[in-house]
Amino acid sequence: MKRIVSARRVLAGVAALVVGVTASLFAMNANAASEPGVDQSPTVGSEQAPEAGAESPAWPTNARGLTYGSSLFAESPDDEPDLILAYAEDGQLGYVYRDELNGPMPSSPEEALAQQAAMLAEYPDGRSIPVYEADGLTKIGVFVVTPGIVTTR
Amino acid sequence: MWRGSVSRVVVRGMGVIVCMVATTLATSPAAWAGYAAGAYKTLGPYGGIKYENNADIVTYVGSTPPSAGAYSGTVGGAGNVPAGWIGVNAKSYSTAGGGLCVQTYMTYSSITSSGFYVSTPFTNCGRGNYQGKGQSASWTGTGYAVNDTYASPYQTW
Repeated sequence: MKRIVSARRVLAGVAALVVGVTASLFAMNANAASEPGVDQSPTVGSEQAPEAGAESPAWPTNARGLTYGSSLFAESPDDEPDLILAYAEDGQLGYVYRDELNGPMPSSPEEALAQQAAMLAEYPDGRSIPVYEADGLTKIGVFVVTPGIVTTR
Repeated sequence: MWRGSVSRVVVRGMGVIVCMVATTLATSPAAWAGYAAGAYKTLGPYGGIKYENNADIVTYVGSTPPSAGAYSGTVGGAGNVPAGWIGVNAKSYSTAGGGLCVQTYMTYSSITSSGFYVSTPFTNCGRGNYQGKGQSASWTGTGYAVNDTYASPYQTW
């Protein structure tokens, strides 16, 4: 009988420890969710996929005749503005050149794989491109195009 | 008699503890907090093959940064294509204003496969609402057809 009581006490102690750890994690998460600086502004994005064939936005043009704006709802790279709204590494909002962001398109699968190997060899941690103000001239930071993590299906 | 009772108590207790540990792990900082995937977009046919693409966004509990991902492959995963025939990049945008937070290299399949998924974490936009998006490149026989995915619904980090 004493052994049963002892076993129950040990189990109760372990259970209390697990409950404590779980409660601490919940408390940590609650604190994280209420951190200052959380963006509470109204959202402008769509909850639904836009309909196929939806027109791309008409982009504003800067003094040099370059279009600029967000590429969030562009249908294809051809629909994107010349200067794409992007956050620099330090969090500043500016613009990157579409051509610098996307890089050159290969002309064959063999060239694509060679280009990819060369990119990963030269820039294994990502390729930095300048971030500008809307004029496309005044540099304010850098944006890093990163190598992705690949999962084959 | 008492040995059997002790065994039952220990077995039941261990069961309860296993459940608690599982709950603890599920709520650890690396656990998913949210997942949102955009609709699949059907593409082509290019060179006689129909492709599809989509994008998603994953947020995690705690301080683990969110991750943007994009997929492209043959429709329904039907049939493999040679290496280099499919390219994918993944991006994430801040929903408030639409600024680009992250973009991966256009990554090409290095092996014969029916499709693949590319993802990347991002931290430079801080906390907020994010949508995933991406682009896929499909070999047509004479060049690449590049298409954007639909934007995913947003997730809050």
